[in-house]
Amino acid sequence: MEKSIGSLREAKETCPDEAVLARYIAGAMAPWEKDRLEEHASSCAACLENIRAAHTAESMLAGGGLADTPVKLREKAKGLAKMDTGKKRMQSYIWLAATIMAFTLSFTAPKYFAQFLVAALILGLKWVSESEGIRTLIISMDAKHRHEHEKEVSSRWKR
Amino acid sequence: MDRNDHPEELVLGCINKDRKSWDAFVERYSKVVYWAIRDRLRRYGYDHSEEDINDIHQDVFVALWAGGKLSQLRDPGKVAGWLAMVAGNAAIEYFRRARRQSPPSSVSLYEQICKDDDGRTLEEVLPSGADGPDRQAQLNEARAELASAIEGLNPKERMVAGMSLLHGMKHAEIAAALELPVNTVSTTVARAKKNLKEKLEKKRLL
Repeated sequence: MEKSIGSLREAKETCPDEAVLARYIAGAMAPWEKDRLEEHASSCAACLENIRAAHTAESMLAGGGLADTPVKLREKAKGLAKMDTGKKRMQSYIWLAATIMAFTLSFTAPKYFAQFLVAALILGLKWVSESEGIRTLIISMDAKHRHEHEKEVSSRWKR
Repeated sequence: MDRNDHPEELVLGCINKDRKSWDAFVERYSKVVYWAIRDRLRRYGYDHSEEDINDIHQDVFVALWAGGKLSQLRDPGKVAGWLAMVAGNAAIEYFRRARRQSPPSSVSLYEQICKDDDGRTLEEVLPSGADGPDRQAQLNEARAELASAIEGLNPKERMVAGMSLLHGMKHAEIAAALELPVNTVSTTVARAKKNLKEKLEKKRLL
C-alpha cells in the first residue's frame, strides 16, 4: 500500500525547480534531459501541477483571459523598488550610525548609561523600520536564503 | 514598440534593478501571479482569505525583486508560465509556514479518475456491504490499485494520463505541452482509463 501510494510523489527536494520545468515546457531540453524529467514528473503530482499551471497561465495571458489585480496590490509590489533608492539607504545609515553612537556613549558615560541605552534601543527600532518594512526585510532574507537553497537543488538535478 | 514590450528586456531590466522596468513588469505580470495563487489554493482545497492571497502576492514580488529569484529564469520569453509555477509554489509554502498545512495527498486528487466517469467519488462507487475498518481497507486497496495501474504505463503515457485524469487538462493542451499528436493523447487517455477500470473490476473494487 505505502509503496503504491508513494509512487505518486508529493513535492520533494529532488523535484526540478521552476526554471528547469520552464525549459521543459519551452522545449529547450536535450532528449536525455527531457526523458529524465518525464520519468520524474510522470509520477510526481506536484510537478504535473506546476506544468499544468504554467501552460494554463501562458495561454490565458495570451488570450487576454486573466482579470486585472487590484490596483492597491500592484502599487504595493511596485513600492518594493522605491524602498531601494539611495536616499532611503542613506537615511537608514544615519539611523544606524546614531544607534551605534548612543550605544557607545552608554558605556563611555556611565552616569547616563540607562538613558543612552534606551536611546540606542529607540534609534535601533527607527533604523529597522526606516530601512525597510520589517516584514519585507524578513521575507527578503528568507527569499535570499531560499534562492541559494534552490540553486543547490537545481544543480543537484542537473548532475 | 517600447523596449519594455519585450519580456526579455523587461526581465533583464528588473534584474538590473531598473525601476521603470519593474513597474512595467508588475503591471503586466501581477495578474498571472494573482491568478496562479488563487488557482493553486482552490485546487488544493485550502481555506483562504483575500488577505492570504495579498500576502502571498507580495511574498512572490519580494522574492523576485529582493530575493534575486528572477535571475533563475533561463528563458525570459516564457516568464508567464514560470511565474505561475513560482506563485503556485509560494502559495503552498505560505500555507506550510504560516498555517502548518501541507498540500493534499496526490491520491485524493487521483480519485477524480472515477469522478470523471461517473460524477461520483471513489468512496461512493465502491460496492456497499462493508462498514468501518473493512470499508477503509477496501478503499485503501482501491487507491493502491489505481496507483499501481498508473505505474504500469511508460513515463510518457503516465504524463498524459496524469495531466488529463489528475489535472483536467484538455487533450489539445496536453498534445501541445508534450509535442504529441492529439490522437495519440486521446488514445493514451482512453487506454489508461480502460486499464484502471479493468484492474478495479478484476479486484471487484468497482
